[in-house]
Amino acid sequence: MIERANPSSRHLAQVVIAVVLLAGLSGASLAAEDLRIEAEEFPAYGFYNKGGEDIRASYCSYASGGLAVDGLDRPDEWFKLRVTFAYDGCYSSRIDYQSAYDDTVRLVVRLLDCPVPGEELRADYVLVDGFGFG
Amino acid sequence: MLTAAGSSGFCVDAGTYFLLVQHVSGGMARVDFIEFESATPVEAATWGRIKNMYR
Repeated sequence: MIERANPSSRHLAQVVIAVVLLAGLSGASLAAEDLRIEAEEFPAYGFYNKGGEDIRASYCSYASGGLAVDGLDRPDEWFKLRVTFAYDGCYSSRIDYQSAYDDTVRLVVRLLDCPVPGEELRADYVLVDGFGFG
Repeated sequence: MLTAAGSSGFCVDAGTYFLLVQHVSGGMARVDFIEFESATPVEAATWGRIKNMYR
């Protein structure tokens, strides 16, 4: 015996089917998204200062949001940031920073515990002939 | 701010990670931001194979 669904249960079934279809479509491809991590978020996650200038957020007229981070001036000094990738995906990375006039500064960005815990991805960045701090 | 481009692309699983911005040599750096630009969207079926290529 076939039972006919009443109008309200039919409507519910249509909604469920629509949700399932949308879920299936969204899972068909993994749409990675661009991410920007502002350096001035660092205090929440830590830093290591060996001396020289303090590592701190400072006003910078050229920086996004008017803030940047000063003080990375000794080898091995670092600050830590958190990044969340919402989807599996492939990315290229870049960093925006300044150095003093005629100065060459080399930084490295290390993505920790990636691709597996205990390992890391590294990207080296060199600014040659800096144009000064704005 | 000046830009230094990354040396290569990479692939990651979804999740939260920590990254260190570390001084290697030279004078002081003033850092504005780190940016990750997505590559072409990856089909789920090929994700595992591509991921292994970068490991």
